[in-house]
Amino acid sequence: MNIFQKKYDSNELLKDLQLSFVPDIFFLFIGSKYPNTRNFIHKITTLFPNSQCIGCSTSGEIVSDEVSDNSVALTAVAFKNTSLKLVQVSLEACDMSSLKTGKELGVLLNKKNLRHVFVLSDGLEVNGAELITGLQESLDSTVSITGGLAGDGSDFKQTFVVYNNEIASKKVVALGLYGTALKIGFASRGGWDSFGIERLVTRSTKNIVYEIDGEPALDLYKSYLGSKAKDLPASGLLFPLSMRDKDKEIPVVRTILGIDEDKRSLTFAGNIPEGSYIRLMKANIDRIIAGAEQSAICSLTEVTEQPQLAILISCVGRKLVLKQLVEEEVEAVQEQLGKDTVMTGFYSYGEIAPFDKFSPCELHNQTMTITTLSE
Amino acid sequence: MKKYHRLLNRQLKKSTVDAATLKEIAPLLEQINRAYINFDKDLDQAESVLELSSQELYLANKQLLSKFDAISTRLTKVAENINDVIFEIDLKGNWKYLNPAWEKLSGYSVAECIGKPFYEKKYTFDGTPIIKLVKIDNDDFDSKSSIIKVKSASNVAKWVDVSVKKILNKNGVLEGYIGTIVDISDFKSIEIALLEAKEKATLANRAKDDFLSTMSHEIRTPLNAVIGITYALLHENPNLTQLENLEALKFSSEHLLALVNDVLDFNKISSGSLDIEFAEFSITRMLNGIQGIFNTVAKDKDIKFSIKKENGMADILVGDSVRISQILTNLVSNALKFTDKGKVTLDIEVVHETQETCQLEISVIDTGIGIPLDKQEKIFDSFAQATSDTTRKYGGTGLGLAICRQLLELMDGNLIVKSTEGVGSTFSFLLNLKKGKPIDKNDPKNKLALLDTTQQHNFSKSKILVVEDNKVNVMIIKKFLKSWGVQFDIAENGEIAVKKSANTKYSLILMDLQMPIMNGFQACKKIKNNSDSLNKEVQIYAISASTGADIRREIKDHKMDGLIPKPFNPDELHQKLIKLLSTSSN
Repeated sequence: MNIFQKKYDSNELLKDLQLSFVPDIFFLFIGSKYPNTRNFIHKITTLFPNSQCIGCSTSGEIVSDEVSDNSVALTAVAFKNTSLKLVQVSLEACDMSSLKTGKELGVLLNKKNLRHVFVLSDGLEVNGAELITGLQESLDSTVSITGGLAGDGSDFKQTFVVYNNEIASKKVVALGLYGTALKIGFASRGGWDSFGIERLVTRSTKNIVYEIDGEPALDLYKSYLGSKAKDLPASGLLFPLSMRDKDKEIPVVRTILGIDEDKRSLTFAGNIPEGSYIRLMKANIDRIIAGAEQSAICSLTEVTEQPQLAILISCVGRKLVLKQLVEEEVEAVQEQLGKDTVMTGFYSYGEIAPFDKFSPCELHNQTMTITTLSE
Repeated sequence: MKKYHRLLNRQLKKSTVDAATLKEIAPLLEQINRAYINFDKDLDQAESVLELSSQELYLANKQLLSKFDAISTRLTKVAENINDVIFEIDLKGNWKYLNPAWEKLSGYSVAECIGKPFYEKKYTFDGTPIIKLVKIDNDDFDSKSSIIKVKSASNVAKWVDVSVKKILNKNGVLEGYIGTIVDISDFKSIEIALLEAKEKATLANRAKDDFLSTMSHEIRTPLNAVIGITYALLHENPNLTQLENLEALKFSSEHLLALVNDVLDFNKISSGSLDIEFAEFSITRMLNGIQGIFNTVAKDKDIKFSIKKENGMADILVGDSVRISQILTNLVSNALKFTDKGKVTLDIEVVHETQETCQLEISVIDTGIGIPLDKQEKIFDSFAQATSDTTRKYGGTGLGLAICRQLLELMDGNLIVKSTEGVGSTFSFLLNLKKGKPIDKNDPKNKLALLDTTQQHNFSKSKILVVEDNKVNVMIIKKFLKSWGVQFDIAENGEIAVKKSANTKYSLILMDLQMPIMNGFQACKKIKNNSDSLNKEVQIYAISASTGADIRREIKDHKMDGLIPKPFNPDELHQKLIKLLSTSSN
């Protein structure tokens, strides 16, 4: 596997790029305020007509152990014994159904020797949980799925995904990796702590929660945010919810994507069924960093040698809590994976991965989700 | 580079400060470093406090929830297994809770009713709400219950007892309503059956009362004639023997009248509708009457009959003279009946006396056959006598002692018997009576009452109208009015009375009530209501054999001026006429 990596700052344009190998694929994680995205993509596809591009807008870009904003994290990869298939499906073509979109992607990728699906999705229009369910429905259960939802700083206005030279919202792109030589590792850990009492979701439809313990959801939520309530929905990243479904023992974390002042409801990145139990969560810098570290350790459990490439998808909420210390979590991951592992990734509006090797793929929030690749 | 707090290190790493400057600002960096470290410690402290209390809260909440679950499970179990409906209604009037008993009662499922209004028309036959909440936001009640007829989903009628109560929160603010609905269809059908049975019994009783009342009226009319004629004969200067016979005839006919009344009374007593009257009477007169009636009987049987009365006891007492006389007559009559030799004594003693009252002990003592000890209680039962051959030997109905005892009970007295077989019997009772006013002969009010009935009063200025359909009664009243010198007209019914009163002005009208063509009430109304009538202001007195409270009420309702009972005592009628005619001529 050949890997090349470069970070382009916001004032830096892509003029020329000389590589010692022909990449199969470019991973492009692009800050939402990077000034010339379209030119950048156009240039790449012009320079490397035989390579494909997958990417998305972000809330922060990871290159090696550095975290930047409004830059482009470019990682070019050429696999030795792994074949790829890049597909995209438009939400609009699926009646805006995330479930249908997921199914469609699965159908497009489902071929012999499919090992792994790496998926990048629009961050605001897609119901991540439904997307995963759709994918799972049309894929064999042995195929692992990881990925994330695109971000846009913390504006919650518009995100996009990159499919070769196309940039578009309301789309999902997915990369299928085929072949027995590929070794995949993954894990997702948070490090957030739930606190206070467990509350019952008394009224909700899919990912919109109207009432918690019979009270308007937004009112309860605002009471915890205090003066930060005016910065909703971005400030909602500071108080995710831990959700325990009726049947599931391990709780998942859910972050707020939007609010409705009229209906006094909260919109989440994933479904919160009526009758599920939720607890508010709070962050602690040390435990968040420890969470990232734990995620790295976990991603290594089934892999015998040091991974060659690691894609880190971490939640924008963590970035808002860690602030200037945001790189500490990336460094913590690097320390566990080893210096020779090339790291890239981005801060997202949702992470897609199984909790660990033995769990089904799920949508996460507030986690550090790591996918490692080696041949 | 010195190792500082990780944030400071990172900040320095990202900055472009050179080594010389770093050394220069080292003391400042040290301070910042300490502040960072202290801040972290404080944050840790705060976080561990938060964590601990959060855990406590979480556990406490879990415990509370599990207790709550246990209790609500228990309550649910109770509510779900009870036969009666338990419900809750919210402030909008919608069913908020209904237990499964609702489905059995109404035939509607709980799920389809929850959230729907309780006042839906489908639950009752006439469309009124199943629960009578005055107004959903009205404060007019705290709790109420009502029995109504409802219909189930399959249109089956059921009687239910609905109770509803307000639910108030701690601050007294109304939060909703809670209550129960009990199916009382079974009780209700029993109640309806009982009511129907009672209705039938009442109708039967009324028929009996009507019969007795009619019969007594029918008997009284000829009695009226007997008594009237006896009075008339008494006024025609009879000789001593005739006088004695006439007195006996008079008393007997009056006694017969009393007996007729007694049969009615026995009926009244057993139905609990007899009222004891309180009026002044002379005990001496009463005893004289009794002496008069029984002297002859005693003489015939060669038995001594004597009345002993304590000297100096009050003569005028307040009580029901008819009833007391009835009791005494009965007891003395019995004593004489069952005594073949020796004597019968009526003994009256004052046991206790105050200014206003006196307690009398009245005993009837005989030397007759006596009553066996084991029969002494039985004789007070109605239609019972001491031995089965008593009736055959001595006659009687066996009603007398029963009436006596019951009458005495109404007067708070108790009839007691002491008897030894073959030696004699003593019947005695105590009677508490108020004393009446002794007649003051100087009081002008009493002058009229004390007028000698034989004294001629000048009635020449007055003319009265007698409205009466019974010819015998007309004959008797004619006889008296003529002898008193009263001018009068006779009308045979109400219609004739109205016609006559249109042409003649009368001082007084005596009006029979039951008459053919037009009855007394109608006639009275016509005479009084006719504005052209000469007799608009005339006094109209009813004369009637019926003297019950209902008749008196009707007389009052028809604005008649009073009642003169039939058969009338001529002396009383005379005095009444004197009084009425003198006032009307004034």
